[in-house]
Amino acid sequence: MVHQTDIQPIPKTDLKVKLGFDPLDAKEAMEFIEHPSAGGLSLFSGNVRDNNLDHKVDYLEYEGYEPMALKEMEKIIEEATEKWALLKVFVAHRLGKINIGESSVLIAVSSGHRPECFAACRFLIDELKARVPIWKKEFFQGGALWLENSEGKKWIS
Amino acid sequence: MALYRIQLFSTLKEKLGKSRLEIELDPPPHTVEEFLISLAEKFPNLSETLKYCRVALNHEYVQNGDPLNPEQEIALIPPVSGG
Repeated sequence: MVHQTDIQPIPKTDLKVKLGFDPLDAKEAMEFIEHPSAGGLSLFSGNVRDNNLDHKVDYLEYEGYEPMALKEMEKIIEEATEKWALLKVFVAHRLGKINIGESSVLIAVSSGHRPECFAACRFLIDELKARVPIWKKEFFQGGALWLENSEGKKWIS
Repeated sequence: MALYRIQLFSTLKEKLGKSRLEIELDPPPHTVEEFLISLAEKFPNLSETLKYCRVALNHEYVQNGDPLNPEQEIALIPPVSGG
């Protein structure tokens, strides 16, 4: 039986959105979302893979339309807090050159019970990949290529 | 005739060699759709890329039928790849 809690808006101090060039810190994300009423905490890290399609990847470079990316990330978080009863939310995206095995995006969510934090964490990364104006360029032996997320296809008019 | 300042990113920025495009359009487009058509006419080599771009005005996504004016911060948003 799913435990239904009233969905309340989250105070701004319980949300954190970061966009910058420094390496991301999963410990910072987990510590931020801790809450005495949180029975469930979810963490997602999107890391740079050493391969894509048929070739090896050397590294990625991320570019963002920063003011709009921040705004869109905040909107997505607000939508998540309206869909599920959440306690704290942390979303951070890194820009610039990112090496294999390093994190490009960190999402952490806490809730009273586990269904909400699992679902919200999934929603946050899926929506971010579809909407947030950030682009990655893949560098590999023999060239470089700007990638496009398949999640964004639904937005093409 | 009006002057439009357009923010460019990823493939468009690379193709045009700059992060901001300043361009005069005459007659001035009234909607986002007209704006994209005018741009494609001025830059035929970009018309394929422009087909897949969204437009943002003052940091918000807009639709083709929405109005557009040169006072707004205009950005061309190629297919995104965050995360």
